[in-house]
Amino acid sequence: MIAYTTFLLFLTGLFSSIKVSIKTDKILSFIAFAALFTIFGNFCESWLSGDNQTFSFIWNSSPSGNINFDIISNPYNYEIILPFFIITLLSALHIQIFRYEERKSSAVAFLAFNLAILTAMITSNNFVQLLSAVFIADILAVLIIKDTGASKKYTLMNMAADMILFMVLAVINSLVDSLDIRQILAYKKSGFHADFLAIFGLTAVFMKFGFFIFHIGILSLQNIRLHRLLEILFLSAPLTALVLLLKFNILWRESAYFLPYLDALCSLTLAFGFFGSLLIDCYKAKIIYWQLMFWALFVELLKFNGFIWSAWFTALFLGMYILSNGLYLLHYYFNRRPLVSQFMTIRKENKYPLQGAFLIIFSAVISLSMTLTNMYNNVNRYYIWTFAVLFTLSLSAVLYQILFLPRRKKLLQLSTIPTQYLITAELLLFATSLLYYFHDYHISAVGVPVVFVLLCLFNPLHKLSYFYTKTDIQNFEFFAFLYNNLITFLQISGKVLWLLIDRLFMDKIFIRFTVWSAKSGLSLFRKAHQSPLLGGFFVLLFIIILFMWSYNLREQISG
Amino acid sequence: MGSLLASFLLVPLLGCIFVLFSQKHKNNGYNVALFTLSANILLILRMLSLCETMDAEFLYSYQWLTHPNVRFILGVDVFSLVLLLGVYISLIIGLTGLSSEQRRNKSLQILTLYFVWNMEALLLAKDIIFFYIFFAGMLLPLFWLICLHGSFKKISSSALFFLFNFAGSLLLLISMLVVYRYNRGSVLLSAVGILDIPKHAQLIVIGGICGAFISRIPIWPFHNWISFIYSDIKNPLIYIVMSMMPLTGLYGFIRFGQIMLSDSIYTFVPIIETFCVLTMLFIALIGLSHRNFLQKLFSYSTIYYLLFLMSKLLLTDKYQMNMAYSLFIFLIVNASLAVLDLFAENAREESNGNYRGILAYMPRLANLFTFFVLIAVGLPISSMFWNNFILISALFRESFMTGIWVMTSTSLIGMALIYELYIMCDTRLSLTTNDTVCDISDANLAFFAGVTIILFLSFFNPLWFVF
Amino acid sequence: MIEYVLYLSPLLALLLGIFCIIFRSDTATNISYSFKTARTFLFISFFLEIVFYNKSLIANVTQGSPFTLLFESSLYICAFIVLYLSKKWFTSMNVAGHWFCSCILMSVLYGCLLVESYNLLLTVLMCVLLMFNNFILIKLFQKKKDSSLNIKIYMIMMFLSWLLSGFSLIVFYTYSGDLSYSALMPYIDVNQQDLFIFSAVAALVCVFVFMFGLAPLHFWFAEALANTILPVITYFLLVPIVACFGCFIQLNLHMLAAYQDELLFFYKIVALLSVGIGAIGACSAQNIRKTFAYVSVYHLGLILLALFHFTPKTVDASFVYLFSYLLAITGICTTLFGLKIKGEYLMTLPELSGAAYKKPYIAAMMAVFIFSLSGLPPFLGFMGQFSVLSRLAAYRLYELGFVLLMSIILTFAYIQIIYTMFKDNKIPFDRADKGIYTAMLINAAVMLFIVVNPQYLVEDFVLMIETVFK
Repeated sequence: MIAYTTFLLFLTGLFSSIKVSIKTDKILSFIAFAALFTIFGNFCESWLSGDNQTFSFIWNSSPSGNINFDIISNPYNYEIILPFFIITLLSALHIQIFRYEERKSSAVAFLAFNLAILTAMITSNNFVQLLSAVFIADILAVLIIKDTGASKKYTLMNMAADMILFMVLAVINSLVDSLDIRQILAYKKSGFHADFLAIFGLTAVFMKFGFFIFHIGILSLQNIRLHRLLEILFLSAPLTALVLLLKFNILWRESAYFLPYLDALCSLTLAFGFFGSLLIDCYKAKIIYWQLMFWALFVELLKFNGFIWSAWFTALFLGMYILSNGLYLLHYYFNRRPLVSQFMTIRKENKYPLQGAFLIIFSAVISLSMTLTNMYNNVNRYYIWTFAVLFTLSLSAVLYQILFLPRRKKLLQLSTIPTQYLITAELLLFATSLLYYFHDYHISAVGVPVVFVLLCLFNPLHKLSYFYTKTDIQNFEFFAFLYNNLITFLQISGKVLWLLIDRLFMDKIFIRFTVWSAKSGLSLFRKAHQSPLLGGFFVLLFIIILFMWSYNLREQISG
Repeated sequence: MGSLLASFLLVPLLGCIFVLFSQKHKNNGYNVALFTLSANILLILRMLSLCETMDAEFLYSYQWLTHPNVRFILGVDVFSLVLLLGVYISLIIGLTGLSSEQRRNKSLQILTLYFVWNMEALLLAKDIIFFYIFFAGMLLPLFWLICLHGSFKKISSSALFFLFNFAGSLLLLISMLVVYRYNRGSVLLSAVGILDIPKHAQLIVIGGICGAFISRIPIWPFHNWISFIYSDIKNPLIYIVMSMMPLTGLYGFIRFGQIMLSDSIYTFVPIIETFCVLTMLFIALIGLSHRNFLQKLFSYSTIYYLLFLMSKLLLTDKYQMNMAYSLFIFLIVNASLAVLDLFAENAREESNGNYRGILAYMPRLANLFTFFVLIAVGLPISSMFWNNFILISALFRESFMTGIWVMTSTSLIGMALIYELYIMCDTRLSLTTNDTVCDISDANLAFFAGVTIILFLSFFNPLWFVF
Repeated sequence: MIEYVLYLSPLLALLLGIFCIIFRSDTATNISYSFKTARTFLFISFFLEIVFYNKSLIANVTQGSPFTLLFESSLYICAFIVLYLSKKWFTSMNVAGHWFCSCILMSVLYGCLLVESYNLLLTVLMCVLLMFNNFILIKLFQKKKDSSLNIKIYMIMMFLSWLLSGFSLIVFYTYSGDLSYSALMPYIDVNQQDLFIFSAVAALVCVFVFMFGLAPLHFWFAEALANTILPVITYFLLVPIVACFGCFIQLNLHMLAAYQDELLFFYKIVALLSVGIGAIGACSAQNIRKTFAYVSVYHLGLILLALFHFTPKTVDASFVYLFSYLLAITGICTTLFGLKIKGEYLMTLPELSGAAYKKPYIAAMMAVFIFSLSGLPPFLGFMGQFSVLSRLAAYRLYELGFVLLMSIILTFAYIQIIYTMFKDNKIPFDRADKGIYTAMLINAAVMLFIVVNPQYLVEDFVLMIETVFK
């Protein structure tokens, strides 16, 4: 039962959040990891036993119906959750192996909570539950990033996406007058604001993926630690975006703008990722660009599959994760240097880890190509081919740069990678990637890895490393400039409005005029009272007039 | 229940008397104020536990005059109790934020308790005469608080503030007098809108009521006076008390709910709605442009008050409890953020440091600050999240464009708060701060941790504290 | 004979008091004696007045009723307050107070007769005497020596009023022969068309407008009060108003009822003008005393406006307003007696600076009384405002709107006073007498009591008021 899994994940998270000394922390995090592993076993067992139970309780009531907390167990949900669970496990394993997390147990706790939240989101049937899960996942992402400076743009972008999503769901809820997601079918019939919902909904999804135009946030994460970056890329906002797409595509597809918008952004992201990964020197940025290319492909493939998840998507997803892990090991191997151009020579003693890393990358490429071959059909062939070409070219060019980089100087310090751990990890990852071979072997998948190897050895695009020295290109942040200007424009608009309305209109004109009128009136009053004798004369005149008036009035009454 | 209500109303007055006779230059007055507020919180919880359903209402009346027949009718329901609880917790938060010098100031405690008395009487009043009495009566403690504990620059603006609000309350007086003309004696608030009175009189009544309540809510172009008062307030308690002024206007609209049923209101609603939307956008942009957290917080509170106002104007009564839950959280969060910001400001002044990055040196405060900002923005850490979702959904149902602008404004101000939080947390921006910044004390940390628990648990059940 | 003496005993007590005071007025040490004697005889007179309130010497000249008792009691209490507070001033300034005390007792005497009067001759006579008594007070206690112009203005106005009242008296006596109200009322009713009769009525009304200090005859009131001493201001703000108000109601109900429509128009104009000029004048004045003089003009204008049609309800409402006004203005005067700088009582607004910090309790009480005057709930002033404005709301919404607009302007004047108290000022205030604090507390306690139990004011007092209609 997925509910049971979610509950256990939550408990594990709580357990792992306990603050203990550094020494105990390692033990605690290992216990938490073991617990996660056990839960995974339990999860698989439930799935295999054909669990189909639904956990549901009424959380609160509202005028739009009850706010339910549902965790629906069905094979489809199990299938979607599986890759996320595996990646969570692998990430937790990473945390166990590598020493770049000061508080391992809390890092594992965040992963456990994150998975619990993702599970709740995937299995939800209620707008409030879904939105809560999306928002909490974002909060957890900030906690995982643990870097205030780096997470600013990412948080703001996600926050904007969340607000848009909030608005979209509010509009849907307003029209169906129900918090039940299944009611969107009823809304679909009415078709009100379909374009609005599709455009804004997709925008929120793209912002969460970090697609082109909205990539500022995700690219700003290039300064955080790589393992945290991978956790974000594979377990956080993009996943929530994916789940949203899976849940709401049925509604958004009603708009004529949905598919063109989706295609346009995916294609642009693919191209953007290709050029970015080739031209930008920062290694982590390259990983993000490849990830963006991957998400573009993934979304397109989902579209071709009618937005229905299948085992191939799981394979694709895991393949990409394995690839990223290979790249991660490379990064470690090169002493976590931020720029590819800074990657130094390799000590002889450590050449096995490097070979291991390449082996993992190679195996991941094979698994990706195999999966794509299996998903290949007439409808999506152009897209798959484009991706395969661009991705292979880009990845091989960068690997070429790393392998055949001109050696400038020897490393004085030994690489800090714990070799024995690294080899264990590599073996584990390699074993995982081998699983693909047993799934469905396809002979046509051999071609791509071969081309990839060849390209790694002879790739003319490696010369694009020339641009690594061009600071103009490296610092080129057109969209950051655009967004900054947008914010500045809004701030200036606020300031101008404040100056015009508050200061100029209200203070300088309205209040001053009122004060001036009051002062003039008072001065007139004082002047009128300065000469009582003259005042007295006017008073008498006034009384006589009043008297005459009263008398006339009396006559009129009597007349 | 009647005696409970009466004692509930008397407790702040007794507190005032005790503070008045407490020793000078000691914390006794402060302790009495704290005790008074806590005692009334217990009474609220007791009353909430006696309410078996959400619609339960308890009445208590006191014959004030026999000719004309004027009865002092007090009534309490879950809605007003939730609001009262929010007010009380906010004020306790405000008291916690006082400096040791401010804690020894008797006048501050007396005026606060007097304000509380007015506020609770307003929230309990069920007839129009007494509603007016406390609606106008609360201007006095506010005026004095600003005069006594604000800078001199504030005094001149407080004069304007008083006059403006006084004029607003006179509008309510006109309405009350017209109602009184047709119905000698007490008229229940809920009955004002459905009185059998001529059309022109009905228009005057409704116009007066709407005008009076709007005067309390900083709607453009009358937001200026209140924003000026807010700027540079160094006393958290005064900030919190001031920020409750719009609540009175909002509450008025909610309690005079029946006027929404009359035909005459349709003349006003679109106008108010337009002004609300314009003000929300305007204030959101101003909030974005300000470089001070407190100013941003003021913009935030204004926008949320306007959101609640529009919810009241456009939606039916079935959303009332959602509004109450949201308001409850909003009041507490607003008060907490004001106090926490002043903690940061004091730490900055003491350490001679920089505003930017100050929270990086105060991890405890930073955590609390982040938590409250996230709640304020509307993330699912408190019941405000889903209640706002329900309210905004309903607003979309009533008017799509209004919903869009409301969302734009709330998003902008939410982003502004988060942006400011990042600036306050970013170590890279901290240029001159030395390392000797004092974080908040253990007692304050424990207190605010308690508040966070209250808020967090409300996410699961807004009334979790009622047994 | 004994019966006559007994009925006249309240007045005789007052005369005896005056006699005692004047014959022991030789030294400065007699300050205490003068005030003590005045208070004692005032108390005795009050007691006797209560005992013989419904007894009159000549039936058609004076008539006692619960209505007159209420006003006379108010008069006595006001006079007592004036004497109590003034003693502080006279002791502090070391000025002999025998003339002042005598004048106060004298004005109470005139006031009582004015309230009880049922004869035009007595009314006019008492008015003339009261005016003269006021003149003496102004003349004797002018603060500035160069304020002869103000005295001249008052004198001119007083003579003019005497002439008008004389004219009115002659006209009525010539035409009717009998000057009692009961005889004049049917006569006026029959001869409504006569211009002379109308002129006589208008002249009589003008005299009262002058005595109230209502606009447009407010010049003397504001200017005279601006330059006189604090005890005299307190007297002017309390005593003559009560006396004239009681008499004015009697006069309108029992003599001028036939001219109701015309007079109401006249009253309305005068009242609205007073409300406007009072509010604006209070804002413009820099002299505190002048400010409160204008405040008084405003409130009396409002009372006149509330008296519309002179029905029981309107008279009740205006009395409730008058009562709340009297309590608040007494409180303000008390606080002014408590504020001194280097032995000098405050004159101008800037002198109030820093009072909130140096004299917090007095400043706080002053603010309370001022807010009560402005009608801010939950103070007593609100009850007065409510009773009067509910009358206006019944038929005259435009007037209500005007009054409320003016009340905002007047509130600005109040706020100016309070706001000045919060200004920084290093000059210390003198120590205030404990009696001032006691008076303030009693005043506040009375206000609080009536706010909590308004039935005494709104129901019991009103029953007494309504006896005037029987």
